[in-house]
Amino acid sequence: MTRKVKSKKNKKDRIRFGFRSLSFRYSIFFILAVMLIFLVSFIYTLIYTLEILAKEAMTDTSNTMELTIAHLEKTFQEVEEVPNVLARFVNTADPNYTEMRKVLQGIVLSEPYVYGTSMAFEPYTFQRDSLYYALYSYQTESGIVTKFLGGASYNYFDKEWYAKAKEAGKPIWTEPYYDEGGGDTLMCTYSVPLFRDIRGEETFIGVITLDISLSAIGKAIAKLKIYETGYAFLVSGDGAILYHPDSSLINQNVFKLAADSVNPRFQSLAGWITDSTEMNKVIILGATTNSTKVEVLPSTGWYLVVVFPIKEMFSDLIDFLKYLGTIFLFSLLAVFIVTILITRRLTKPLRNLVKATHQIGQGDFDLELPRLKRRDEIGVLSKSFSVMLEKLKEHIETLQHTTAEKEKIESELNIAHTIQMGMLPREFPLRTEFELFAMLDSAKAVGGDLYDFFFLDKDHLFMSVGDVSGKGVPASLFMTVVRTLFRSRTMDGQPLHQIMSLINKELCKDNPNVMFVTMVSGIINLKTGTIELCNAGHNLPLIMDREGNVKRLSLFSAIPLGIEDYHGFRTEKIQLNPGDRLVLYTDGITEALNAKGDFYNEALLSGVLKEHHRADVPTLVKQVVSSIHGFAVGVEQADDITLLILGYQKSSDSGEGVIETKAIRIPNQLEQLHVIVQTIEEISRDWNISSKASMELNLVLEEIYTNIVFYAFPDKNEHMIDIKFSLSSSGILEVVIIDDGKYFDLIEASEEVKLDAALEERKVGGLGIHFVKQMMDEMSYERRGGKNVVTLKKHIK
Amino acid sequence: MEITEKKERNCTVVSISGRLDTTNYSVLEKKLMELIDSGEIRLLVNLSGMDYVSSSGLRILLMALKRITMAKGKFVLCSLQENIKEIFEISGFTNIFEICDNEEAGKKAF
Repeated sequence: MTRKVKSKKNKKDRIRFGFRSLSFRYSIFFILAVMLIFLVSFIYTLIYTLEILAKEAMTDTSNTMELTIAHLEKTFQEVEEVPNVLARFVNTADPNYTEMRKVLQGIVLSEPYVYGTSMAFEPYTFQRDSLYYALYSYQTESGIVTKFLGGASYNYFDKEWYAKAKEAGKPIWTEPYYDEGGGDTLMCTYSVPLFRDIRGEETFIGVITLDISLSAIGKAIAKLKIYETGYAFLVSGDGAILYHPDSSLINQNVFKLAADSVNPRFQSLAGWITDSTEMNKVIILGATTNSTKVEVLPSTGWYLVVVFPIKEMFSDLIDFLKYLGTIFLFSLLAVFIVTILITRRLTKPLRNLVKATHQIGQGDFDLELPRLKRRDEIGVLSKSFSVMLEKLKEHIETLQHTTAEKEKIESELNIAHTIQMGMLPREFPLRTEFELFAMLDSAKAVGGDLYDFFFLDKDHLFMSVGDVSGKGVPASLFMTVVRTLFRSRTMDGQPLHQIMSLINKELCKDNPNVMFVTMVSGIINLKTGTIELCNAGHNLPLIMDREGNVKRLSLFSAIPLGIEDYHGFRTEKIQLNPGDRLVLYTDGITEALNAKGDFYNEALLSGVLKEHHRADVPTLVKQVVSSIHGFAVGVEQADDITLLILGYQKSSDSGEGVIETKAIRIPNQLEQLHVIVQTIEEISRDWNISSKASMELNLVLEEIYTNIVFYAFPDKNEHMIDIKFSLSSSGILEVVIIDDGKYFDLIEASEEVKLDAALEERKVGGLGIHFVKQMMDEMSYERRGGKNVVTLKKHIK
Repeated sequence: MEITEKKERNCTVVSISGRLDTTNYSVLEKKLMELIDSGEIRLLVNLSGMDYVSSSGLRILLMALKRITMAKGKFVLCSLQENIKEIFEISGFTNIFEICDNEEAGKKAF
């Protein structure tokens, strides 16, 4: 395990959350929430404040208007009081001109709104000789002037102020006019009819007038300060504008203005004047942001119109709101920063943990985690993280330790396995009279099974199969001891049961662990096919005849070797017939389990043996072992599997013993032809074979060998070709050539060569097989166990 | 196997000695075909030194004989060892090859 991984990604992997960081996101959410709450309350407050402000503004305006109206009314009432005084004065004092002038002048002087005042009489009433008699006092720049009115150029009887008052018989206000006769100012006249009791009859004798200067009234109205640009104006009952800050509008008629102008202000205004129910309403005039309030002056029937600008009305509020909004934004920013700072502070340990996890993930387990004193969730997390890290560290250390130990043991076991396997003989004898093959498939690295075989002499072969109790190194060591003992003791030529006894004794001597081995050993006489067997508590061998009939040998079963000093081993003789196969095996075969828990029992073993009874011995062994693996697929092999099969073939057809054998195994490479040549030279010399026969053998084997090399193996892989030579006592040389190539019957394939054909007809090929047929006495082909077996025989003596 | 050739008055003598088998027949094949291709179609093959010939070797001799015969030349063998002669007999080659006992007799055959 690599403790530190240095990676280029390191830099990239650094923890940078930025906008995705907890603190940022938390702050954003927080701010959004705060903003929402603020906004809702702000809007509510705004609406509420607006309402209140509007109400207050209206109240203020109304109050101002009322005050103005009251002021104006007071003025008018004062003005209206004057004629009554004058009337009483005229009727009671019967004044002369001087007295009258004095009174009139006094009125003009004392009443600030009064521009002028007059007393006009009916013809010949005040002064018997005068048609006109009207006295008029008014203001001029140089002071108060009194003059007579009336004359051909100024017939006051027709004037509105006179005629209307006379006609109405009660006081009237005239429409505004420029008094061309008196002052050149716009004025309205209050005309009061004057009556006198003449012979018990109320008789109209003249009119008393008071000219009210509208500019003076206007000054009072102009005093109405309505915010910055707000203003008030006065409209007469007939719609004439009596006062307006815009002096061009003065004396204009609102109805006319409404009709002429597109200005909606006057249209609405005209509407209200026409329909008095619409009055006193605060409305917004047209598209302008101004509001208008109209009040009627009760004494005159005039309208006071107040225009007040909403914008200014709320300008303070708007300023306040702007101020509030700025404050709010700054507060929000401050809250945002504070939130970020707080959450960053809060999550700092978390970020440290993340950083630490990252480092740990890259293999840095020696990292020191910051100790946190806090007891909140993060503190707990950090603490458990430290604990986890400690445990992880411990665990990894333990793991490393055990892994190293395990690897060490495993490598030692592998070496032991190699040594153990090296002890098992792998070179199987190549003899014509028998075939022998064995396999040991260990369950664990070092197993307790063993097999062995070796020649005692030319005709006697020792073989054994055993199973040491237990597995692993002790079993394999014990197995080595057993093998060595057999190798050293069996050479003495003693009977088998004595050898077993002896070895048993030896094994018992120093065996503190009481290990034991079950074993079947045998010595076969290859000439006669007689086999001596001795069984020490092992699985009973099987024997299969040429037809594939399998039976178990019923041997006496003595106790396993190594348990106690024992002398009851028995040697039992069995006669093998040519074609018989002796099968020695360990319980790893019959006790192999499949996934269902069934045993690969003896019956299955017998079945597989019978199925492949025509195969040669190595193939048979391999077939059995692969069938066991197929049976136990998916299940771990529990025990060693050992199988040794000896196939006995009688050496010679005449029944006479083989006196010489020689076998070679060469690969399918043409360059190896010299091995055959050398072997033939060798046996020709040793076995006393004539040079002619030797050369013929050479020719024949070269033909067959080259044939195999060229045609038998389409796969181009290396294959081994076995050639076995044997010489019988009757002087018959037998050569068996075995290859595992594709089916090819040499005899069937050969064509007759026409020896007497003319040159033109002679074929270039085909001579080889002709040689074989010509030079050998017997030739046979057999397909055996997936192999081509060619047997050649030749009498050489 | 060794192959030597020497130019005689009326033929070319090719001497083959040693072992002629599957592993080396192609050397002889090349040699003989070269000679035939270069117009040497009067060949005397001396086999006095040859102690082994396999069927593949015999095949080359047969091919050479066929080609020279077609080219209206002459192909003669001489000085065969006893066991080689037997192989020739078994092969039926004694019927189709002109075989002389020694090189002198062989040269006279041209």
